[in-house]
Amino acid sequence: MCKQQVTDNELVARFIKGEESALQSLIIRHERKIYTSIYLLVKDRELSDDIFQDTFIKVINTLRSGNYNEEGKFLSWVLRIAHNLVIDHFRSLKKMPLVHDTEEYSIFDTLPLMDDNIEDKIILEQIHKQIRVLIEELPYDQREVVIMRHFGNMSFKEISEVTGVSINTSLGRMRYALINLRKLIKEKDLYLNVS
Amino acid sequence: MNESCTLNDLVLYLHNETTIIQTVEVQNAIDNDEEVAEIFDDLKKITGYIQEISIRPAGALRESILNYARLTAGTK
Repeated sequence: MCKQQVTDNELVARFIKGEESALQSLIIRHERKIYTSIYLLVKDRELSDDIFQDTFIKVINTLRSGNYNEEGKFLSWVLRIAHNLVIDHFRSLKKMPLVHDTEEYSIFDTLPLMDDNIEDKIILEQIHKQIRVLIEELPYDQREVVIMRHFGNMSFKEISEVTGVSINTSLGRMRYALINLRKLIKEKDLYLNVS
Repeated sequence: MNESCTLNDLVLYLHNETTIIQTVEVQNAIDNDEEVAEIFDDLKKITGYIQEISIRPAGALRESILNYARLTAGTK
């Protein structure tokens, strides 16, 4: 028998009632997606740490103030807070991020792999690193849509509301992002298959 | 690209956001047009790998957030 997982909404309700362990469960459940999203936007480990903490401070304060009414999409809501903090950061610098390469691979780790074959694991890790580096090469607006859709599970409609553009623009950005990634993969002759 | 299936349609289909009619049209294009099928296969692989990218925050960050929650409990 599978133990049914407590929903985000239940955990949120428990935390509001004062059960601190519920917050811990929410963080453990979503921290990788939230942190990965922030890092892919700002591309700096220390800044990601700061924004990650500030995001949860806002989450805690908002939940306690009774202003949370997201009806079930906790992760999307948290990612919107993180996204706004990223934008605030770039606004404070009075510039949007420039695209730059990074060689800092060591800080990354991929999801636990199920495959026992070591060679496959190495290939898969390489693919994840390559894809991550390619995402970093995308223009900011394309990266943003990719992150919101794939890490925040937001629909294109929701993304358009958060970013203040039309649904077609959001969709177009995703299309460009994926086509750009495909083009880069072909140009760099990357092989995406694991045996 | 196939006339009945644009890249936008393909992206929507990939993300399960097509209407029933669009779904049928896109699936039909994938089944009958090698170019569409190849693009779709590539995009599916790419998005699959994107979703597996995962960067873990330092454990100390979580502790710091939980400390904040403890320290501010009952003050709001």
